[in-house]
Amino acid sequence: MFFVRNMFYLAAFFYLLAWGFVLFCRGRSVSLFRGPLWIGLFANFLSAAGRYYFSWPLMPMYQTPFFLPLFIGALLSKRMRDKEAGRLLPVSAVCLLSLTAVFFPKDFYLPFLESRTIFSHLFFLSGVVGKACFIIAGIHAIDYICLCHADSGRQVQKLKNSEKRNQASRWIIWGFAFWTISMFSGEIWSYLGWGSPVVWDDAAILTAMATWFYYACFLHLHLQKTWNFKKRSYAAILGAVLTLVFNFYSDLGRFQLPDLDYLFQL
Amino acid sequence: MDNSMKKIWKALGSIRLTIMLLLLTVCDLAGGYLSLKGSEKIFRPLNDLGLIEWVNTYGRTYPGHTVWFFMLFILLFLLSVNTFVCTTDRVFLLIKNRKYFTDSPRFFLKFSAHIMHYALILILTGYLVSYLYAVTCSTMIIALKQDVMIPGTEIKTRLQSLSIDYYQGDRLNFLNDRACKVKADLLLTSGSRETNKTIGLNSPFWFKDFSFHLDDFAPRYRSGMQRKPYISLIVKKDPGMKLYFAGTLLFLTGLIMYLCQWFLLQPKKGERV
Repeated sequence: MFFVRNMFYLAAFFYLLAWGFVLFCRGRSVSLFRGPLWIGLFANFLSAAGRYYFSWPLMPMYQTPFFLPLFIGALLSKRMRDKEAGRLLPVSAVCLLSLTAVFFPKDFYLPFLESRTIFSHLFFLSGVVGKACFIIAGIHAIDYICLCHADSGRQVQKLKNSEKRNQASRWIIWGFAFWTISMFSGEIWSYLGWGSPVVWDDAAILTAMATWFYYACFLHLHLQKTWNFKKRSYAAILGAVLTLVFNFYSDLGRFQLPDLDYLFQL
Repeated sequence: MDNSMKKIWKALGSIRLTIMLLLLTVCDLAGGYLSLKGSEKIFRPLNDLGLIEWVNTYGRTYPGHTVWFFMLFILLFLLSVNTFVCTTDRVFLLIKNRKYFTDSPRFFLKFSAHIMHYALILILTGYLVSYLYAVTCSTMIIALKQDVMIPGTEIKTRLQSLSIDYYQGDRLNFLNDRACKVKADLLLTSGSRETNKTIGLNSPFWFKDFSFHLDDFAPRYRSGMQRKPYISLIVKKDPGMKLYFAGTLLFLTGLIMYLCQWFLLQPKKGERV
């Protein structure tokens, strides 16, 4: 288990390094952030794979904070290769989420036997992908808002034809699809295990439902003419915040400093 | 339809109402989270008692904790009505405009969103039927070689054998000497009919409209104080189950169709649809 923890500490360190490059380097040297970011993603992948290895065939409990930076980083890898796209927001998101996981871990719960079914894994993994997509949509929406506020007329004109305004909605459609799959998998798992599609033992089911209804609402906004791209971008940002509050915060534990004993066992 | 009916129909199917109801549902669920957290014991019996009995007992006793649940009920009902009216309008409009579609796959895939909307109504109806009419017999404990009658039925259950695999290895340290897999063989008798069934965790079986789910078992540990082998079952007759799973399947079909429409039928640059 110390391998899993150390790998995540390593990932967080390299994410922090990448963030430093993005924040403080200028010119061509800014692209140096890619090296530490890729190393971080690889270490994060090893940590996530290790967490699964040490719990399979059971589902690892409260592991979302350790998987989320990996999925966001991996899903945005194409964007981070693009010179024009902003790197600050995605790298900041990955770095801050990984640091939150380091300082507020809740991964000490043991997996339970009832999670031995493919539906529990589908529930967990598609849930993480869904959350990652919603947060990425928020990042794109912030980008779009920033571009809208840019005072250069040329930039605004360019923006009108740009693909950027649709990016947030696209990610939200993907997120909604994965979130729905996660909720349905949870429903089937709950029925197989306890004979009912809803188990009232965990209040988090309500926040998961709230997130689903919020994005269902978002997907209907374009049918109202008053909701233009800019307003919908604000809604996407609010959605990302709600996703973090509703579905990320509940997987966090109390503040604790990283366990250095683990580091020395490497 | 006369004019006032048309107005009511239009108001019930408006998108503004959809957005308002969805946002209210989000707020209600967020409030529900705060209410449910720490007081799960109030809602846990909902699955066993059914909605009516639960409302008359827990629902009335703890109104401060359950008010969000009643609000959710009203909101979901209104949302279902709104979804039905709005979707039906759009489906009729789509059928009316069929001649504008040059290829039938494109026309067919246009129904994807509507399928998802109808599926949602089906799922919600299934849940309602389930909470109103399901019969549950929870924690039915059966010891090895013991016969137990399922209350209110003619079904007799006998635990023939119980096989438990205990984990031994280095990978899952926490599971060492603890049960990792369980399989119980049951003999079910109803009148002159006898059937053998096998049950496990997350692997229920169905017999005469009843579903049998393994809730608990013993012994869970290989070492330590030995407990008498037994299993605990949840037996449920749920008339809503087929509805909500049909709705789930339909929703997924609509979702796949929507993604197909999105990917395969995206108009190319300069192409007219």
